[in-house]
Amino acid sequence: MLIKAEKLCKIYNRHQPDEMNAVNDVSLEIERNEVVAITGPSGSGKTSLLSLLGCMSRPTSGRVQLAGRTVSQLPESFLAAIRREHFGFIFQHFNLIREISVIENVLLPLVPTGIPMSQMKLRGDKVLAQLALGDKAKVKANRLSGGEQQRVAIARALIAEPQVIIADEPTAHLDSRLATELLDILTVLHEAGKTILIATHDPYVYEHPLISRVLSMSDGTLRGAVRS
Amino acid sequence: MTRQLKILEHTLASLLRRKAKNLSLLVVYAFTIATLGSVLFLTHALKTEASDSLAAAPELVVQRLAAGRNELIPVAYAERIRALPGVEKVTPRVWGYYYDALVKANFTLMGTAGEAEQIELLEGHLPSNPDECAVGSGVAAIFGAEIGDRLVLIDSHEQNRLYKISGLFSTASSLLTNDLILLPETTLREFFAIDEQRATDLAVEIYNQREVKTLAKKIRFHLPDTRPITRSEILHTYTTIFNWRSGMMLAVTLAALIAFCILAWDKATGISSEEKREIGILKALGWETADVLAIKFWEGLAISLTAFLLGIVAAWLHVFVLGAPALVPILKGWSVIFPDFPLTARVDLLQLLTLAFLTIVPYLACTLIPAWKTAVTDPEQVMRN
Amino acid sequence: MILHPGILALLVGSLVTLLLMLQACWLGIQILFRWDSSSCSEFQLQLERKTWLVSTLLNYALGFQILSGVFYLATLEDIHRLFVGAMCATGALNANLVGWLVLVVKVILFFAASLWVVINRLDQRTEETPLVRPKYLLLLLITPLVACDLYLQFSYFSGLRPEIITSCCGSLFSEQGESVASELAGMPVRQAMTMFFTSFGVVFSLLLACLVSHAALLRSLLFISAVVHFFSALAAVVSFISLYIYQLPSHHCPFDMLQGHYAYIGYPLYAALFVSTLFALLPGLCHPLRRHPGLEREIIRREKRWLISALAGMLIFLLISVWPMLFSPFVLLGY
Repeated sequence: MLIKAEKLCKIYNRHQPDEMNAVNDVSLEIERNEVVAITGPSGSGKTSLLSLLGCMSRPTSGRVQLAGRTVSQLPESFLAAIRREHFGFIFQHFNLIREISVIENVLLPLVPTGIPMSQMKLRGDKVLAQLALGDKAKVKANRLSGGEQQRVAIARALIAEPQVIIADEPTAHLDSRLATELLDILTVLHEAGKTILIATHDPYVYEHPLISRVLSMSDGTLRGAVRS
Repeated sequence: MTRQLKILEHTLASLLRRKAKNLSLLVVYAFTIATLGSVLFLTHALKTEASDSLAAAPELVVQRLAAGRNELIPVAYAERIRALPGVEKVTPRVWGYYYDALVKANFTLMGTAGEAEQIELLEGHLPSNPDECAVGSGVAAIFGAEIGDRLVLIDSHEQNRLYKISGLFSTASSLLTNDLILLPETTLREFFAIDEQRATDLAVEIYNQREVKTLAKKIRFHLPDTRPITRSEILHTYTTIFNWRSGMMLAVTLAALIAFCILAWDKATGISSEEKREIGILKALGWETADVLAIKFWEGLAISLTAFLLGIVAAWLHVFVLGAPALVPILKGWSVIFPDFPLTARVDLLQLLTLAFLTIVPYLACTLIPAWKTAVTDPEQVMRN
Repeated sequence: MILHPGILALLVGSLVTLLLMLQACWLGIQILFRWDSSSCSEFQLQLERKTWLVSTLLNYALGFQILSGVFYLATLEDIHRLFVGAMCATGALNANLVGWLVLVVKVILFFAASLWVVINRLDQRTEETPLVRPKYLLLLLITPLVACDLYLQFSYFSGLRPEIITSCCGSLFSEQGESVASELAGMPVRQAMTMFFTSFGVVFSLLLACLVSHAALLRSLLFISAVVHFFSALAAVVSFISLYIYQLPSHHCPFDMLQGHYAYIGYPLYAALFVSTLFALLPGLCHPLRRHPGLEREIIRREKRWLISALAGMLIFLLISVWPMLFSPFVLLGY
């Protein structure tokens, strides 16, 4: 068992008129090396659930365990360290820093660590080579094509060698060719032993053979497995 | 350690990336520092100038007071003071002020005897016959005179008198010789109509410096109408006056500092959405609040040190190269003369420390809360756009 | 009141520090009353974020306070010229005895604020943050000290009367009359040397012992002996170390060595003393905190670094103070 969530609730703007129950009583377990897709219409709480599982935010109630350790009550600084060490994030809009180079973007998660610069560079070169970006290292992120930007985002998610990859609507802004490319990369990562969590409403993704389990969400609650 | 260095590197890179945005702040910051720095540098230079020139002054000067005002002192007092044990030498000095209506300036006229002979840095020679004089560079400049020219002064009987300039004090000499006209003592007595029995004051040389105070007390005991002034007292007075002046000026310019702080606060609060997004990304990628606070700290320090460097260079140029055109009228203002008298460039560690303390501390304090507000950006916001 | 640029800067600096501390205090009170580590509410999250603001405020305040301590001494060195008979900063301090009090407050503040920062670091590195309440109580105690520092500085500087020529007579006949005594009397040299080297030896061996043993008693002993050594080292500076540095048999001023004339040797000397004392105090102070398993892990992780830093500081202090005794031609003992 890698990730275990028990009765997770996330309420935004509590005790205020615009109170919102983004995640409501969600329990789930994710095994190592599983590839789980969470589907559901927009506003169903997929992103909130991912951010809870990925230690981006703390639940209003309930708890999250990561490899047997309860992480949901930790102070924010510990959550940051956990994000850095255990999770790689691929965001919907890539979220690259546009004015800096590819290699600088990729190395960002390693800056607040004790890893020396020379080692960081080696790791960066390796990851970029893996994703066929070796020749783009010095190019600024805003000069890249959409596909390249996506691969940079993946490289950045992989640089800290995390156990879990979390992808939030990764194909939302991609054409089908790039979406295929993305799923191919994810397949390779899966084979390398990574656990992958994807929030998506794109059938192309959740019907892909890579996905071992599909969970459906609506109104903040999990409607159970669509396919497993 | 490595972590902090890497964060510093990241900070400097992103500052350079955004240099246009920080430029206006940097300019105002540097300008504030330059203003405060000019005040400090100028007063410090004037203060050292004054105290250096006093180094050659006699240990003890005895003046006579009558009705609370300076009076001429009888030369006979010199004998009585010389009789006190411990006194090495007593020299009656004759000197006074002279206002020239033509050039509208005040000069100091001094008789050559005693201490005047110690003045160095002379081109030409000291006056050797009754119608010769030596003048300071300020005087020479205001009259446009050179060695060999004649100087016309009007004496106390409204008579024009001509003196040949035999010597010139060089420009490098200090405040004291700038407005000085040196004449033979007998000539000066005629000029001011001071009789042989009187002098302006008495310069007293003493064998043992530690006895200055005791001797001063004795002189006052034996000659109750006199006022003995020690050299260190003059020094204290000068120092106090200059400290007071620069303190006042600083207090006034503090308003500028406050204005700058408001600007800094405003700048730090209104960070761009671009920067906010960037911090959000960093936090989502696992940067801690402490790391972002470190970015902000390095950023503040880098901006401060750059502005500080620019500011002191500007202040240096303003004071020591240009002659502090913006401040001289306010700070010097004790005499009308002083054409351009060059200041010796001197800055000590305390000046720089003072300046750093006055400017960097308020700046860092002003940007602290905005920095924290940026640092606690919720990482989750990156997931929703 | 003397209006001197340095004084103005010091007062501005202290005022800024006080404002930071007041802000921290206000937040501290909120945290003290509303902190609930078991709560997951948005409010608790806000409080947690505010603790970061408080620690940043305190870090800056400590930094400013250290700078202002150094700057205070530098300013004293500069203004001593205003007082008849004052040879160095001691004279300026004697001109208004409140000045000594300012110095004492600054030293206390240095130790208190450093301690707070260290404890805060420890606490923030543990998941349970068990020290939140004690920390913020301590904060409420430090803030009045900062206010005290500002007040005393103001009354020191405003109480100074520079000696200027008055219109009736020279200042030496004004009411202040006698010059300020500018010398400190030191302890007899032999006695001070014995005391210094004994306390040094004790602290040094205790530091080494703590490196190999985990006994609580050693740490308490280290704490006490470090406090004693701090004072004995200060007495030693006044009594004989200064004499060797100046190579004058009667100049006991502990501040002149901060001047460029003596190659600013006083700064590393005092820095070494303060740093070594601080680090030697920490193991003893933190020992009771080991009750919390999280803290214990952190303390054990850091303690070695503290002990080694303290040892290094002690050695630097010893080196600087003993160097002129061994290698300068100046002979103090035996005459």
